[in-house]
This record gives sequence, C-alpha cells and structure tokens, in this order.
Amino acid sequence: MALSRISEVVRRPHPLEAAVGDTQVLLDAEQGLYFGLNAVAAGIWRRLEQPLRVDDLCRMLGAEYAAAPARIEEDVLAFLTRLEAQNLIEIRA
Amino acid sequence: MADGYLCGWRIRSAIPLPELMPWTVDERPADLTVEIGEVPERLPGGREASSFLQVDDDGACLLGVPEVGRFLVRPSGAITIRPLPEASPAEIRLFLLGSVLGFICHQHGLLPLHGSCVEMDGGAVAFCGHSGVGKSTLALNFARRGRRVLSDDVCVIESVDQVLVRPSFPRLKLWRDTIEDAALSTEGLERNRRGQEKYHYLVHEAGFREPLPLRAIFLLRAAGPGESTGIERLSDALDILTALTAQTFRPRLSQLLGKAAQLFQARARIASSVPVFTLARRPDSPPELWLNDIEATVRG
Repeated sequence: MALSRISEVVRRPHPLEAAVGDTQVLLDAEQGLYFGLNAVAAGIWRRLEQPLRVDDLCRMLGAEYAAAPARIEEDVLAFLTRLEAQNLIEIRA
Repeated sequence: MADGYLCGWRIRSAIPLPELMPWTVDERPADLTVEIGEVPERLPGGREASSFLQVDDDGACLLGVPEVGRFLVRPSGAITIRPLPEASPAEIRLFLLGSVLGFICHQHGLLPLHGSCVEMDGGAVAFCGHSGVGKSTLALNFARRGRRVLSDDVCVIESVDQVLVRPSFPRLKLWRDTIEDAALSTEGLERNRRGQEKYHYLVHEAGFREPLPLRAIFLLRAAGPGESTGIERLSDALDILTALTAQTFRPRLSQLLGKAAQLFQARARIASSVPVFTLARRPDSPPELWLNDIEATVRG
C-alpha cells in the first residue's frame, strides 16, 4: 500500500525495544537487526503504538516542533518509508 | 564423586569434571545432572538449529559432534551423553563445558558471551574476541598476578537488577607456545582435541564461586597494517549491541528457545551501564603487554 498523508500507519508488534543512553533501540529478532531511534524518531515511534493517520501525526509534531508544515510532512513521510522498508510498521487504508 | 560448582548451579556428574570447583554453597539438590546413556540421533519433533544441533518445543537441545558424541540437554537440567568410542574424556568435557553450557544458558535466559573473564577489584572484567586473539592468554597473565579466573570460554552473564558474571571454572585452553612462553610446561596437561597443540591448564587456586558485577568488557582484535593500536571506548548504542550479539554464543538459539527478549534486555542493560572497549593490538605482540593499560582503564 502506498504511503501518503492520508494513510493510516501502525507499528508491527514484533520488535523488542529498550532505551540505551539517548537512543531508543529496536531489535527485530526474526531478522536479527538492530535499529536506533533518536529522540524525535522515538517520539514518532511511541505515537504509532495506536493506528494513526499521517496528517494527524504531522499536526501533532507541528505543535511540538518549530518547523514549516511542508518540511515536517516531508521528513515524516521519509522516516515512515524507512520504517516500512524494514517491516517495522504496517500501512493501512 | 563430589558435586561441582558451575555458574551457580550444583552439578552432579557420572564422569569426572576436574575443571570444576567443588560445590560448597548449600545443601540444595543438584540443579544439573550428567549421565552416560543412550541418546537418539534425532530429537522427535525437533527443529534444526544447525547441521549438528536440534531443538524441540520443550526447549530440549540435542548436539551431535562428529567423532566425539551426542549430547541431550533437557531444560530440567538433565544431561545425557552418548560418547563415541574414539572420543577422549577431555573432548567430551570440552563440549559439555562449552557448547552444552551455552545451551543451558539460553534455556535459562542467561547471556553466554564468548570470552574469558577475570576478577578485578571486586568486579568482573571480560575479554571477548575471535579464537586466537588472546583471551585465554590475558586470563593466564592476570591469574599469574594473583587475580581470580571466572571463565575462559563461555562467560555467563545474568542481568536482573544489575549485570553479574556467574563464575564457571578456572580452566584455560592454551596453545603450547603460550604455556612455554609463560615458563610453564605442558607435561601432564590434557590435550584439548586429539592431535592439537592446545592444552587444558587448570588454575584451581584462582577459582571463585561468587557472582561478581560486570565492570568492563574488552573486545580484542588484531590491528590491521598501518592501523593504530590501543584501547578505545565504544559509545554508539548500536555498535555496542551489534558487538555483544556477535560475541554471543549461538545468538539465534535464544530465538528458538523463546528467550530472545531476555537476552535483548540483558545486552541493552550492558550497553547502558557497563563500559565496552575495543583493544586493538599487533598480532605479533604479546597480549601481556596490555595488562597495566587494561587495569588502568578499568579503574578509570
């Protein structure tokens, strides 16, 4: 399913996670791969525990960070694309 | 035969295990038992973890080692060995106290790292790295400085409230050259494998039976040509976790035994709370040149 601003996204349940210093680390035990999330990325990851529309996510981040909405949307879509490529999230609708 | 101490477990064995310290902790029944008996070639309902290892849904492991024997390791702690006629007693013990110990760790959700480990100022310091990189030689040299030896091959780590190393036994696997360089003799020592110039060297006076907090891990490696030598602390969380996974004994086994989450949390706790260093040295320089630097690094 193609990712767009009206997509609904949610985490896949399998990754294990732990905080190590400033990094939130995910382990996909099936693939044996580690992923490190910085504070901003970890904040997005936390919100994806429940299914969320991309534009709603961008609005939340817009309230939190002083950046242009277009820039936020671009960064969020790029980040979600990477998570999806690693099979860490599911894109619905 | 007296029961032995192995990583906090009381072990009762039908074959002599001279490596182990005698059990003196308490009056509990044996946690682990070793018997000689029939072991099937296939584990009913077992899955192949490798060409030599099967695991079943109850968490039993069956290891078949060509020219040595078959080892059945039940999660209850009952171990049955079917030795092959050509196997030497030292070879049987090599796999029992190596591979089988690693399986027992995974069955219990303990982290088995490939490495030697010595006591330093009331804590444990582990040395990990590929075979031949100097792990056992460092442990030997620290033992000769009067330090306790907690493990040589499999360093067993427990992570509950803090990160602890459970001592295994004070036996070092050393090449003949290392033994002779230390002005020791291979006379009377058992060979690790038939025809191999590697020997089992027991340092019973350096044995220890108390779990100790893990103070530091050193990842040993050979410096490439033109590369500088020295000790460096790893700081990136993913670098540390990847290195710890690479040093874990059969890392995929925790997944098959349903203990992947426990081992991940143990590694994450180490990455958060225990300094991990790399030690790059020239392959032709003796590892003992680094003893003082290692001690100074641990003391910070």
